Amino acid sequence: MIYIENIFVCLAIPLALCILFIGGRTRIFMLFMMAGMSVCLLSAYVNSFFMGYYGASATVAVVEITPVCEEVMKLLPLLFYVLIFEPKVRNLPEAAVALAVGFATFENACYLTENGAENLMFLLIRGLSAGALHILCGILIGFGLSYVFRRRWLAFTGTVGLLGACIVFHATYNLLISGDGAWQTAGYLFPSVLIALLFAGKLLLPKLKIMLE
Amino acid sequence: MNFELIDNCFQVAVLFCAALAAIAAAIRHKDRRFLILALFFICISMGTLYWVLHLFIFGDVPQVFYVSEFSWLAAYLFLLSFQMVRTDRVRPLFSLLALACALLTAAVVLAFQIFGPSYVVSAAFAGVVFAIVYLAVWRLRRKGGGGLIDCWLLLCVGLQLLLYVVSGFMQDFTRFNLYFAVDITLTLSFTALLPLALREAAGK
Repeated sequence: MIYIENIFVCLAIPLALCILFIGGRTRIFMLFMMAGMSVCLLSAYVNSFFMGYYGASATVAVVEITPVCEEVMKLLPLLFYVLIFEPKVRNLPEAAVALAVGFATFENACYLTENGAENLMFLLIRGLSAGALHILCGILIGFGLSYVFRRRWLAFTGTVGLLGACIVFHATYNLLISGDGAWQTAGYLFPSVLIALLFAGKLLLPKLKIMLE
Repeated sequence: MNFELIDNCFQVAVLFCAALAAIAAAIRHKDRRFLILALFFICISMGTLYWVLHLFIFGDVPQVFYVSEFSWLAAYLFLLSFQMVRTDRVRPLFSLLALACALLTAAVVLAFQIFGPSYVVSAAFAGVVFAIVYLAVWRLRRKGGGGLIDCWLLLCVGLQLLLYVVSGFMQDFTRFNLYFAVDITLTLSFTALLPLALREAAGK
């Protein structure tokens, strides 16, 4: 058993203190990182609730319950930000990625506390897979929301659609790493490969002067 | 080999290729509508992929949360978004025929609990297809508004409903039967949306 609330306090206090002395976009980034950590903590409670409610095993929870709960929880602070503060849509990808970074960092910190930090290879794989997966979902949600919230009537269908896409990506990753051999390797690789492809697209499209209308 | 696996693998492969083609079309035509269509193809194929992988790895279909159904629902939401983008700057007005068709479709979805057994997912799907059918029929009735693509969208929704209705009467999913014939037709109908959208873009 690990005390995730204690880990949260330890990680969040320095971030909360630095927010007092920084401003602008950096402050927003830090706030969303903290929000990501808080969401990770709350997701653990929600996952445990559904696990107990359905009497599901740990494997079933990882494959079927966790992706749905985590992705829904990650979307809520972003929706709050968009609907209450009405920021410029171009700031949304940054906020979504910061939220994903906070979530992945807190998840990795809990993982390290539970399993130790001796095996560098395994931790490298975890960073490149689980960490990359949350970033991938953050990119998808962030850029997606920044498009759908430009057109008010597209906001609802687009947001729920993006949530569904993130859930299935997350669930497929969890499913693959629950398998063994080639399935596991494919699971570890696919978030990083997709991020690499998106990054290549981000670099290439402006060079080719391609802007989607 | 189990025909269910062959059918699902065929669907994943075909729709993945369609998604790549839609991304290429989005870049070539600099049009986000194709990107929305690509997301539709990706969500359908990822939902099926999740289902197949679960079957491969655990030897059983998902039992607790319906991740595949969420994904297919998301796909239909993208299809609705695609329809909304096409109807951009045109204010949809009331049409009794469109409303009747949409209500009938939603009633069939609820009666057969399509995308169920969760009532919430089924009701959400009913709402989404209601909107897709309403917009498609309304566009077809509008003077000079509708096109082949609207008829095709209605065909896709009809085939999706038929697939679930037929599945209720089938017992054996290891051999080719009517269910797989409908599923393969549905997959190919989804794919045909891309050339139709390209034709529409070229026409404009």
